[in-house]
Amino acid sequence: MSEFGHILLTFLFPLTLFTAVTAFLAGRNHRESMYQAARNGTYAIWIVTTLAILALEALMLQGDFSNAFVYGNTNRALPGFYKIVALWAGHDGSLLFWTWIITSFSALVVYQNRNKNRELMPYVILTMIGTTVFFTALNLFIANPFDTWMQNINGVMTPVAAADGRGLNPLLQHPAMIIHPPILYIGYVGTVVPFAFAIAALLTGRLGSSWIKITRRWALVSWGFLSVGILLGGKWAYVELGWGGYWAWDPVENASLLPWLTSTAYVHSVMIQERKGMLKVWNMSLVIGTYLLAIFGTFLTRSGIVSSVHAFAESGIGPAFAAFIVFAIITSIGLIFWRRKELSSEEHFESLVSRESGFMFNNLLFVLATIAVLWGTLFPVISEAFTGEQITVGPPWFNTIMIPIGLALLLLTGVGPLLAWRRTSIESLRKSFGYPFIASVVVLLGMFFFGIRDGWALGSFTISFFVLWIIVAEFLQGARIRSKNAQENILTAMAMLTMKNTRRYGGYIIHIAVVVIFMGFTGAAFNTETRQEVATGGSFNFAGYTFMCIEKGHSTNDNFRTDFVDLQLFKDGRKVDDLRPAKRMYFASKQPTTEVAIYSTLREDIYVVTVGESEDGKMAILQIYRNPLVMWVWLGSLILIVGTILVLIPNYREKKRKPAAQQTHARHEVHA
Amino acid sequence: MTTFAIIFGFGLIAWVISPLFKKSGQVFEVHSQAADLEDMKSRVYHNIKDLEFDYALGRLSEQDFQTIRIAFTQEATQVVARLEQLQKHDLDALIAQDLKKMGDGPAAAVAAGAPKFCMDCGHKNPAKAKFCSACGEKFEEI
Repeated sequence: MSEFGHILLTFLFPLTLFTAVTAFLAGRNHRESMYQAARNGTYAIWIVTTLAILALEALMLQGDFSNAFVYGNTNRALPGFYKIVALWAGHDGSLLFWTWIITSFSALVVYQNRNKNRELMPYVILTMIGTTVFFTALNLFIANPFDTWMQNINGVMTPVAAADGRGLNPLLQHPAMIIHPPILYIGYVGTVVPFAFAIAALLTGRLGSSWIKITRRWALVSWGFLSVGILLGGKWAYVELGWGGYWAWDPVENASLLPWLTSTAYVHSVMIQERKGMLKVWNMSLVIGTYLLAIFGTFLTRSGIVSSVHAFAESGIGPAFAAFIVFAIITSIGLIFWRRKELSSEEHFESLVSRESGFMFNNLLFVLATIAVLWGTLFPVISEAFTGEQITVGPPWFNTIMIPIGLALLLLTGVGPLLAWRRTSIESLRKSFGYPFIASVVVLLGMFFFGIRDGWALGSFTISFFVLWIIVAEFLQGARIRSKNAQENILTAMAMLTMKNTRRYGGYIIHIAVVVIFMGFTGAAFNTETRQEVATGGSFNFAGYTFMCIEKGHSTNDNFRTDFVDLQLFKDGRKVDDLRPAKRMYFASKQPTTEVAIYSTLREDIYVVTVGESEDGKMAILQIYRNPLVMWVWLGSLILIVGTILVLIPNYREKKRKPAAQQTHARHEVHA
Repeated sequence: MTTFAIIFGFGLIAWVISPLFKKSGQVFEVHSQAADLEDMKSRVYHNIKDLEFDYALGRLSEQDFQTIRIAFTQEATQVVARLEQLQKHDLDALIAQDLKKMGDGPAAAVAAGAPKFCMDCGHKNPAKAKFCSACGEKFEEI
């Protein structure tokens, strides 16, 4: 089977090259035959990649430990389900998985456009399959998941058939971790589609809004998957890593945030181009930047560059990625420069107080955030390269910069929708901001009165309230006008309004989600924690709760040994939950994991971790965190998914019943 | 398994490259100017809708609304006119092309009701004439 996989990859590489070349020729000469061949090639690439994935899955399910990837990422006792998902746990397998997603998207795009956009499509294929050429080459030459497991025996590399594998990293044996990587990868790879159409638009000179219209859904889907992927990553870190939080500005987390920041900027600024034919170079750059950051994110996650500059050169994958990224940057900038005249704006800004300038501020902030995160993430690498010493910038640095940017963006979600396109009358602004502003000030004073003193938290809650008010007012006002005109009750009117303009109102729902998520973030300003030692039968109090220790014990299965503490949680003398924080020791990988116990309410999370035991082994040492409002982050995530789906639904068109009936009638008359 | 793999591999290659051997390597159509105009048209329409929405929610002064609306309407008129002109131009071209396909033999002239000229004496006869009214020469039935 390993051999079969090798053959598939060896076959795949020339196939991708052939397809890219025919696609290029088809674009140059507009030859139908070339275009056909490029399309067939795209489908064939997908078939071969799918077979390669299946071959690797078969190896893992069979437990063929002569294969290095199978040996390194699975073991016999691993449940079958985890054997399947181990595909994206390891380095080589996850790159093959990446390749598979991009080939799937390429095939899908070719199929979607089989009768459309013939002028753009050859170059779209060229760009997508060109990217595939790179990943296939990585899979074939540097990170081949079908390589045999070799051991250094007396200085000679010898193939070894091991009896059992090293097992899947225990941290990854978690449901959130199973869906997190594919979702994030779909988000990453989804950015390739708008990029490919942008490049095709540059190459053909068809620089109008058609490439934007074609890729609108792709950009949104990829944005949605990136958002959900990032939030799921946070959820996983929260329940699996056991340090009490969900976001630590870790390089790998930042890697997923970077393309999200630029693609969020894009989904806003693109509206200006659609309406006014402006910001063409800017939007082009955002799409290209998002693609590059997605590739860079994959690179950051896979090369280990940030842990050390030296890991970069050693893994072999680093220089290849660096070369590819540099190539993509130079080509894209070159193309934009070449087309600079056609990319000039058709109109210009009319007023500083307008929707489009609101979007511009939004974009500036997002780009600022991108630069800050990129700088902070790469700072260890840069400092090591120049001073020989790694200097890491920690969460405080990121928070200092990102909290103000975040709050400014949050404020814009409230202000933006109230601005009219082109120019807004100051009178109307005064009218629409008046009540929410006064109410927000009252809320601010109220919070201060009740003892909240953290400046950022006060700001965040106040702005959240302000934005929420405005969005709700937007819905109500629109619905009121509609209910008057269409003679509907207010709820029907609101539903109809939303379905008739899913993009606007779906967008507002996403903004509500953002507000809810921000309130969750703000809860972190009030986190408290404690460390307690407790024996069976003992109890202690923390944050208004009483913790009773029922048992300190352990259990064992094939895969791991568990040391647990059974707790009962009481509030106001009433039992509210059973908690079982634990430590697991996995046998195959000899790695421990922390199993967190969480009691979650809208108000706060009680988060319990076992950190060890006393010297005599009788007392368990527990670390307990009280994290207010964390659940709001996950609730907001769900709202965000709903909003994103809504935005993707086409606008509902009302049937005009009367004229339609008349028409059928008329037709009958003609026939008669 | 191996035989199957080889057959499958060759089959796949043959399918991918087969279009290259098709005789008709025709050139596929490149975009028309109409597509651009359609784009502009839908943009103006959307802008008008947005403007009406903003006005309905009281975000624009009436004066701004009127000025911008007039500008948009003018733009829309221009675009639609250009689009129609282009379509008319396309139609004219299409008719000319169709006529050309039919050939420009006498049949076309007859069909159009054109007068007949005698091949012998050159006298002009009505379209339906079977004999020349001047010299009596018979017209060939076509």
